[in-house]
Amino acid sequence: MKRSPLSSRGFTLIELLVVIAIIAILVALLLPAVQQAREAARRTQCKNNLKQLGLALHNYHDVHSVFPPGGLQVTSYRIGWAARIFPFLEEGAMYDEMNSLSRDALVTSSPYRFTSAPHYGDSVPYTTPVPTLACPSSPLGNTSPDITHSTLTWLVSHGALHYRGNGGSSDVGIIAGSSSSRDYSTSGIIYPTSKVRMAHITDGTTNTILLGESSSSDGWTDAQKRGWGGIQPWTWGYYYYSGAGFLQIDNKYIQYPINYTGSFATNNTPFTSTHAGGAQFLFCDGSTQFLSEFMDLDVLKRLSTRGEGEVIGEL
Amino acid sequence: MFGLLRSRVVSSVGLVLILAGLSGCESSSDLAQTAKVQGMISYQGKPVTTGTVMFIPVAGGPPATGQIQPDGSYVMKTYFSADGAVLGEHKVTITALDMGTGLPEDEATEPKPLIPEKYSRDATSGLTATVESDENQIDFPLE
Repeated sequence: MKRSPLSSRGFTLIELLVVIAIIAILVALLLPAVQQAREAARRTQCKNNLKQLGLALHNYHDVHSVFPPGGLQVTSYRIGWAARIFPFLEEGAMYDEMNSLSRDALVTSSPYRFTSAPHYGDSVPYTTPVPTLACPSSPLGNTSPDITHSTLTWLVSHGALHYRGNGGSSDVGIIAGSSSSRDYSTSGIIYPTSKVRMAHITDGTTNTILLGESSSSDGWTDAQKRGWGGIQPWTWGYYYYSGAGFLQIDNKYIQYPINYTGSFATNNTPFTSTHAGGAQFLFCDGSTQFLSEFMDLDVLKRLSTRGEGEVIGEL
Repeated sequence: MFGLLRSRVVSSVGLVLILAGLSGCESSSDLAQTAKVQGMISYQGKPVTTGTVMFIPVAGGPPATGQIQPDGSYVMKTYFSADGAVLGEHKVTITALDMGTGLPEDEATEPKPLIPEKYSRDATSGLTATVESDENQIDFPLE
């Protein structure tokens, strides 16, 4: 059979149009997914931050035989666990800088409250964000834009802390302060005066939360965002009232569900994130897991206690 | 020859339709069944003006929350706005706080509970509710 000269000439107009239409549909399908891919990448980076913090906390535990405390009986606005693990987080220079400004900066300076000596709240180590401490998906960025204050104007530039220690459950081991906002739980891993070792985690390190994400203030009132229970920078870890309880700033006990937007006090700020549908958690074995905001609250509380002997089951 | 061209066009259009159809696959969700819940919160006879009610299902499931309005009313939400709470027995907690304005060293301005603190923890609140299908009106007159 003789080949038609027309078919050897190439594409017809209709064929070309069909090809263009196919390409257009594929692009239309893919473009929305690109945004999702970006968010997926940020979520993975956030997970990596938690992994790095987990490694640093384990290395801290190897050296000190104990996880860092979530508060000491030292008054004023002290720096918390985040700075204690700086040497294990490749942030040794930052740690040295803090200690060169004031000796034993972790218990002698209050950069959150004062800019004078020996606190230096507006100096470089405190106004330099630490990338590992900030979730890249957070609309708050790597500083603390929520913490607007008429006199403490330097706070908005303090480095963010989007991961908080697990201070335990509101059902177990509550120590009453002299007012209810100073109550704190002792059933977690990082809580005021904590000295928790691996051996104390009898529920199993796989079943106990070490850190949780606290990177979104969506849906909170302005008073909640600015308040003590807001997303405070790493430069304020805890506040000790002599003999009368603590404010848990960089560690929280669990009373409310993930991404809860209602009323809460200071020590029970809910864990929150802008990742759709939940938040990421680091467990004591170094694993990270995304937990849904629709999970059983009782299961979340059981994951927060270290030694109650509860059965968790599948998440 | 025209027949060949037409069949090519038809098959490519068919392919496009299949692709478009594939992209439209939606996963069906298995959300727990909820029923509308609303009511009033009062303390010592007066409406509570701010705060949050939380329903925690005894048999397990997603907790529901409701913001207390200035007139003391609340509407519960589990998955979507005003969809209520899952059916069955619930432990109920109510948190109502004045946020305070000062710094921790100024003890006069620290956050204060507007109702006794025991109502905010499910271990001590003693409040329960049963959510039934259709609409629920559940009031909590606190003492």
